[in-house]
Amino acid sequence: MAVANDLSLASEQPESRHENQTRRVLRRLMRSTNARVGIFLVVAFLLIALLVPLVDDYDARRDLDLSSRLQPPSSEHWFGTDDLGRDVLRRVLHGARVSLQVAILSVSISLIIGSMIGLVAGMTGGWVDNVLMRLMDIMLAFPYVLLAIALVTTLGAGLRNTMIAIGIVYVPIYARLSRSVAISLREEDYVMAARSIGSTQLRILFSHIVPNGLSPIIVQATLSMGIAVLDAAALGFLGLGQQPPYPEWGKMLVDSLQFILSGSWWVMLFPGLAIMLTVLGFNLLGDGLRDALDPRLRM
Amino acid sequence: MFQYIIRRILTTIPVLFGVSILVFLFIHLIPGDPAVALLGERATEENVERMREQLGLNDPMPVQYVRFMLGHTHMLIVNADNSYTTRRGEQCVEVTDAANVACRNTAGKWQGQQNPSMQCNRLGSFMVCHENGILWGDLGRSIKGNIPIGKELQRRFPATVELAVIAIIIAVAVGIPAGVLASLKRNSFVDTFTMFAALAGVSMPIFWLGILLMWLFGLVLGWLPTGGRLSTGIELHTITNLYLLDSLLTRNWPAFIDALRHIILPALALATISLSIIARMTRSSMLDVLGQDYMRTAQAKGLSRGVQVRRHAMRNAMMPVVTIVGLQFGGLLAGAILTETIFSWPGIGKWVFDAITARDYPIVQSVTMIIAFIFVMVNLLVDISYAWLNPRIRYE
Repeated sequence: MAVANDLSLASEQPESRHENQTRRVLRRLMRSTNARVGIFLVVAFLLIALLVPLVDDYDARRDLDLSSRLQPPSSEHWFGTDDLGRDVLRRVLHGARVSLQVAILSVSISLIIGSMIGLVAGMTGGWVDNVLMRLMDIMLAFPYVLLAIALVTTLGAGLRNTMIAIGIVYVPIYARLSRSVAISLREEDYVMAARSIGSTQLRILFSHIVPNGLSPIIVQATLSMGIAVLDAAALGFLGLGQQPPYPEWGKMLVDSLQFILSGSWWVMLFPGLAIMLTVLGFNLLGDGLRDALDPRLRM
Repeated sequence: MFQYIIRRILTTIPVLFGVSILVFLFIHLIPGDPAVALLGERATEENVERMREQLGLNDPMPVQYVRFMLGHTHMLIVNADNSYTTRRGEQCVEVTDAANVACRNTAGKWQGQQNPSMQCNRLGSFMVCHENGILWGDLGRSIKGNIPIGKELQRRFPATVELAVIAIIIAVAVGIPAGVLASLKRNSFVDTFTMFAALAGVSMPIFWLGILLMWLFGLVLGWLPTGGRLSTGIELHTITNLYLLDSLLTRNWPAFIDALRHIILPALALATISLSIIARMTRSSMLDVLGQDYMRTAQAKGLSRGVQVRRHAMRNAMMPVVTIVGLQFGGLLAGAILTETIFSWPGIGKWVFDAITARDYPIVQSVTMIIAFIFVMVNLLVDISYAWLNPRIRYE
């Protein structure tokens, strides 16, 4: 019985340690005001993106009311209306889904592909590492926005291609990061121990390297989501993202340009504010996570 | 140091080569037929086939890549007596002229094309003539209007450089003092406010900030112009096409003030992200240095706070900041696409935007290539200057 108890304790230990660590990180995260604001903003926009389309059945193709063009904010239209008489608040709320979709999916694409490239390069070394990293260097030779623009121009404008382009553009970030993680961890004692008992490379990778090197990647992914929202808006602004009449924050901004002269400031204020608050949320959360996961890196 | 520079330059060559392949592939990766993409869906089959032939799309990919890089090239050897010989060693008895390499050999046969659009340059003992070809700096022609891209680039590039330089000056002049101040007053209101503003700065889409600035300072307050580089009616004799510099050189003060008024808003919008990054980096680097032993020694020696900060802290804290400043420049060139569009700034950014709208691929391709080239070169310079400042890097 005692032996059985010991065994169950032994099997529980790693999990409880992991749980303790998660709780510690969460506690540290919640202690920071900045991180709390970040969590609030990110959760708020996620909820908007998830719930608004469920609550409000919005058909962008039929949304047109020329009798109430460019009306300033009022009790009826809190954020005013645009040049086609569409409610700006409604479009800003529905636009959240597009921006967050781009952020989450494009960062997932780059995270998966980039981490795989980086881990393979870091674990294998030699010419494989050299070739893969030189390829990444070539991609890094382009400023992100420019490469994304070139890719979308090539692939064709639209939401799907925006996500693919942003996803591809961020691949080198994760490749470099996960490679450096793999290189620093592959010489650790526990990895050596696993290797000496005959664990396969794949097992070492997924049981030791990935779980232990996750922190910097989580931080980077959070920060990248903010940048992805900005880049998606930039592509939308250039007319390369989500196509009209569907609401997209960047496109809403470029459309507002021509009405500023007539003093319709509300058309440009709210979509921009939405972009800024979403990005700010991801940045605050990313900074907070970095401090919580590794206090040595505190800026 | 010399060895390091050579090694670093050598690693740049394959990267540039890769960049050229990637840019070349952009046009060839267009789903479907690039000729259709260029002509539009309604083009007749005959026209599409003619366009395919014209673009050389029927040739194998490597051939197309070589043509993309070298264009149509023709070369003659220039002899000591200034006469010409073909590569096969045949003497030219007649060469049409220096800008046209057609050469008639002794057998009376013409070699090369009598093509007036070919450009010839003397490279050592060779006369190299070419039509198109990125490697010769010839970027081809735009689809719309058939304008030589290189010439248009020469005209527009100074406008973008001027904007980027003023933006970097603003970013450094505001970002570094803000970061230093925040680090010296750590955890105070000044620190919190500065860092929150910096975080808001990196979170803000620059095109939105541009619109806000334009609306507030241009339309509501009416203090500054909202677009263009110079007001109509102001005359300026251009030398470098950098209007601020040109107006200074020609001592044309009304033009200088007018150009300065025009550049303030777009430069401010463009500078914001770099400014915020520089401020955050300066603060973090300063905090790192302020905790070092030699700072305590400086304090123990009885040096004034000002001398401690200027002579000991800032000098050491500026190294990573210098790197960041250099790296920002390439990003600024890309950011110019958005800023220039809002402020109708006639630089390469606005040009690319218009090209994207008009689906003019050669322009997008060329400007992408140029910006990537500059980005790689700036990175090279940053690395070299960093190695010069920090000897440890050279010996790695």
